Amino acid sequence: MKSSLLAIALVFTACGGTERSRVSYPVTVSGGGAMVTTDSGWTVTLTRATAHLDAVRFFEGKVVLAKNVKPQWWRSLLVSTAYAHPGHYVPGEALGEFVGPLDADLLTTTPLAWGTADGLTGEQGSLQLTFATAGLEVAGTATKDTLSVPFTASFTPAYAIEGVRSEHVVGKNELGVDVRIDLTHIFSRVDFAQVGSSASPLDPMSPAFNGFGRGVIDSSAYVVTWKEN
Amino acid sequence: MQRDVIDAAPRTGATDLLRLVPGLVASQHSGEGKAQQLFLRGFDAVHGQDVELNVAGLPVNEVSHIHALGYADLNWLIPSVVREVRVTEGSGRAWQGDFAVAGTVRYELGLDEPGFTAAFSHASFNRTRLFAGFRPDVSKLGDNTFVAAEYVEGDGFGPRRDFHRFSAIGQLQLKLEALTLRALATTYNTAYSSPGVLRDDAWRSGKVGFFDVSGSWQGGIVSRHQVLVGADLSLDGSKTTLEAYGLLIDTKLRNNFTGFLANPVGDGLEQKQNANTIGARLMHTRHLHVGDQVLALELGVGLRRDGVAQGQRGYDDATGALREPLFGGAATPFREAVDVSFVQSMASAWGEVAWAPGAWRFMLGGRFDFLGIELDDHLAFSGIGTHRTSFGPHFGLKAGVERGFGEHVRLFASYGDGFRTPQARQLSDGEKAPFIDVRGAELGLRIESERFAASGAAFGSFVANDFFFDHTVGTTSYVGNTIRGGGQFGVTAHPVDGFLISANFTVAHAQLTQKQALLPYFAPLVGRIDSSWTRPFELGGRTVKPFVGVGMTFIGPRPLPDDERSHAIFLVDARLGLRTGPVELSLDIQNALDSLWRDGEFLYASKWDQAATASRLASRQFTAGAPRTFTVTLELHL
Amino acid sequence: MKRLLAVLAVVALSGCGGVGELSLTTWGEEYIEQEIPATEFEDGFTVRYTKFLVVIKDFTLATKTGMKGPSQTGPLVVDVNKLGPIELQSFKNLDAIKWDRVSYGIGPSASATGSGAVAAADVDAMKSGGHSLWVEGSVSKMGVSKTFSWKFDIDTAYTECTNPDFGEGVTVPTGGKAEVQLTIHGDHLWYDDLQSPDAKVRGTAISAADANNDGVITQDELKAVQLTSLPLGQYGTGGASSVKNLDDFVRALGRTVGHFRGEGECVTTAK
Repeated sequence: MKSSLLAIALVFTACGGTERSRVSYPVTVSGGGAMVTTDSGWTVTLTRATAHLDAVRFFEGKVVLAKNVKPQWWRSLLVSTAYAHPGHYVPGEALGEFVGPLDADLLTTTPLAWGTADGLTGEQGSLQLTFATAGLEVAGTATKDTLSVPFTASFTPAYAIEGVRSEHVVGKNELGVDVRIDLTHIFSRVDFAQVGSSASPLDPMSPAFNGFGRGVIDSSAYVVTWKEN
Repeated sequence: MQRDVIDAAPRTGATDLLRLVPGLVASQHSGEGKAQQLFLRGFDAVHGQDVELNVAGLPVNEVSHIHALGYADLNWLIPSVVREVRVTEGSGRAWQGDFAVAGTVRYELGLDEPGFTAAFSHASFNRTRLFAGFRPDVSKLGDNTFVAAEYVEGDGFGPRRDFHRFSAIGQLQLKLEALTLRALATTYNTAYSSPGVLRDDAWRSGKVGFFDVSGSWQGGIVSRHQVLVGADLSLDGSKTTLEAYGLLIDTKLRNNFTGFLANPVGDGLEQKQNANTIGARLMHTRHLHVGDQVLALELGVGLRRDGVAQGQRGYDDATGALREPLFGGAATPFREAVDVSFVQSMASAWGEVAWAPGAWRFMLGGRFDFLGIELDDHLAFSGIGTHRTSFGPHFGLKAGVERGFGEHVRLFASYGDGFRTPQARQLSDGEKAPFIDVRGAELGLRIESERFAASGAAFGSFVANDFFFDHTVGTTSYVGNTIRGGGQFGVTAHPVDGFLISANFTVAHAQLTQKQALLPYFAPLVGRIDSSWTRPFELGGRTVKPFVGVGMTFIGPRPLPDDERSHAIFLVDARLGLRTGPVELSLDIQNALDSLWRDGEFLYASKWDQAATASRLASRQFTAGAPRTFTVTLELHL
Repeated sequence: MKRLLAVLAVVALSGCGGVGELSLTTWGEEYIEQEIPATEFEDGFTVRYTKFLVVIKDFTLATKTGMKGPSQTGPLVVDVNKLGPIELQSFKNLDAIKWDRVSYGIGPSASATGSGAVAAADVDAMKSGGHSLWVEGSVSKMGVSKTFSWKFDIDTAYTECTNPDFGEGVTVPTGGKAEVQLTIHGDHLWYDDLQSPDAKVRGTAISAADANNDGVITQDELKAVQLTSLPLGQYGTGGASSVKNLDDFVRALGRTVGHFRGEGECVTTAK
């Protein structure tokens, strides 16, 4: 009887919550080892790999080839919501973000704390990573057979990296999320036999630099891992 | 709700007239000329989709409006000519039509006093009002014949809130024995600016002031011209009513709620709607004798045809220039452009039969509506255009039972299927038009005596596979089953001569049943108290009639998306007046406590700050409510 | 108004329910039947197809509420370079409702049959080769023309199809006939990005892939062109890191040729 009365009382005082809740969770950035191997067989020993980051944002849109993402219906009770269009990837509504600078040394083995993201509970599908103007700076030596190529390079994407896969249902008690910048992926296309006029810094017109740039903007080079509750 | 309750507190416009309805919250979030956003009995009716509004037989809701379903603009109604407000809660009566989901509100018109009335008001923020009205003192013309006109202009309580409007209403009632002829004509024009919606974090950080502006070019222009002719024939205990009406409504409005979120040159939309509406109703009530029992019969048929042309274009925030429509292709942004014309027709028939044996009264009724839509989408298929036809029937059951306990007390229960028509633009060719079907029930008690009336009721409603039509992109979001419930209590009393107190409180709850989550924006707790006092006395051979009134509104925190709550609202309005002979002087004070309050409060993502570091998360946004406003009125009754 | 009255009469007579028909068609539009004009290309090329074979299968009607409708009888090989639209199948006595979950596939099938004006030898070649897409034609600019004949075995599901003008799926009218056209977009094979909505149509890189300059661009030649040799900012792969060369790239674009009732789109999933 008592619980029934309580239930009735709750009904009439509009307790409970709407579909989503505000949450916050720590964001870390990690790199990996200093040794990577490219598709063309080069072994790269990195002495420096620093990602200069500005912001990370989590979106509802999953990474599929073509899909409309509708805004959550209640967003439109008043407003004209930013509406997605039939493109090849549509971010949809932002469900989490941390905005703040980080110079991440990707050669350390422990994840670096970036900040605490504010967000919402619910299902999210993708992530967007914004580099600062210094972009990604790397230095090291690439070796293959008897060849050894010392190099430096820096690349800043013209746009934020969009469509990083991050399919996760965010609950009320998230322990955190790690964004790993996979240097193996980033260097996979680089052929140090094609460095053009210079390896240090890499000739920006060379296929090697081109491969490095393509690696940085490849959204699958960023791996999102949510910590288990 | 009679004139004395209406007069108890300041009523300067449509928002005040809407707040007379128990449990109704009206938010004027985009300037003086735009239809209010309505919340009633757990429903967020947006701009009218769940509340049927009617003024002396003229429908107010516009079907398939470009801005919102059931768009109900009441700004043309002159508060001084509202004689009575009739509120039919829920959808338990067969005559209740399209959009009567949470209830039906009907305003009856008339001027209080015969003769000529003129009024001049001047208020804070340079608001000026001129009013003139005339009611002939001829018995054949009844009490409700009048003609009145009002002009109001003002700067508003902050930047980009200026407006001016002109409204004229004439009503004729001619009594000829058993036949009464009626005619009503209105004309209305307004132009208004809108300050838009502010981000709460921008205000808290001091980047904008509470009454500031976001975005440019917002506001609108509206014209509305209406005519109704009717005849009532009363013969041998029966009454037959025939009404025909025509409405010409042109609306243009501009809003930018999200800044530069979708488009780097601005998300602003200009929406235009030109509607020509004609309709007719034939109603008949009579008593039927079946054996020794008497049945009360009520029958009606109605027709309504809306011819509508509607358009939408994006505009650039910097220049206000309209953008050309963009057509297909993989890289096409969402289609902000709309250019459609359609005819939406509805034929309706309804009937009720009531039987009252002893202290009981039983009612059973039904209503059938048939909707047909023919639409031309001029921008479809890259501008080639297409034609679509849609149709759909709806049947609703109505039932009620009442039991009297003595002369003054009645217990009642009712059930009704309410409905709202869909958005014409959303329908596919050949599609059976999906009505929203709302099953509502109510259980209550009413007590009435000469000086005291009170009522209390519990209400509930269920919507199977409720949907929300997103008017900005023309898509429908199905949200699953929804339920709403609550209770309402109201009392009106005249404890002593000259003293009135009227109060009502409504609690409501609304939720998605599958997800066990609250629906956003509905008003869980609404209270309103109106009280007035007057006591005439003689002074120097003249009768002097002082007048004091106060109105209090309380709106509890409303659930917002993302599990947030809006701020509670408490407003006090007051009026002081003095009348002697033909001269009346009054002072109205609205928001007497000068509360800093948010008329509208929302949660969604917006982008007014163009920096890359600006938040993209959904954020709290608000429209400021009016600060303390003084109005002095000099009124002459000749 | 006459049409409305006719519909009202049909509804009144049929007790508001009823059945209708649906014609399933496919069309390659002018771009495949005639030419992709130079104005469409960022770099002034034109493309003329001489063959555009696709295997269409698994067309299915359903509703969001879980109602299942009929499906395509069997996979069909169609040459959308031939004058269309080409009717694939006619569905009779369908429930006259809004079928708002429509899906289909383009993928290889050993049991496919030819539909429309398609050569029997081509059908056999598609089946025996396990192909789902076979395009032949020429890409030209300034009087220089290169031919191509590319075959792909990609298997793609197109689900939740919607169209900005028709809405989700298809509405079958009571006593009437609806048409669903599975529209094939020939220009998609020439886009220069797999993810960006601002992708451009380009011919330069593909035309230049003809390494031996024999006037024929082979898939082996496309394979030899690493994307790292193309300007950064073009031929972006989004997150498809396995796409390394032009052959991979065109193959990935091959998953985007299927559309719905003109410009409509579907959720596109690799199988």
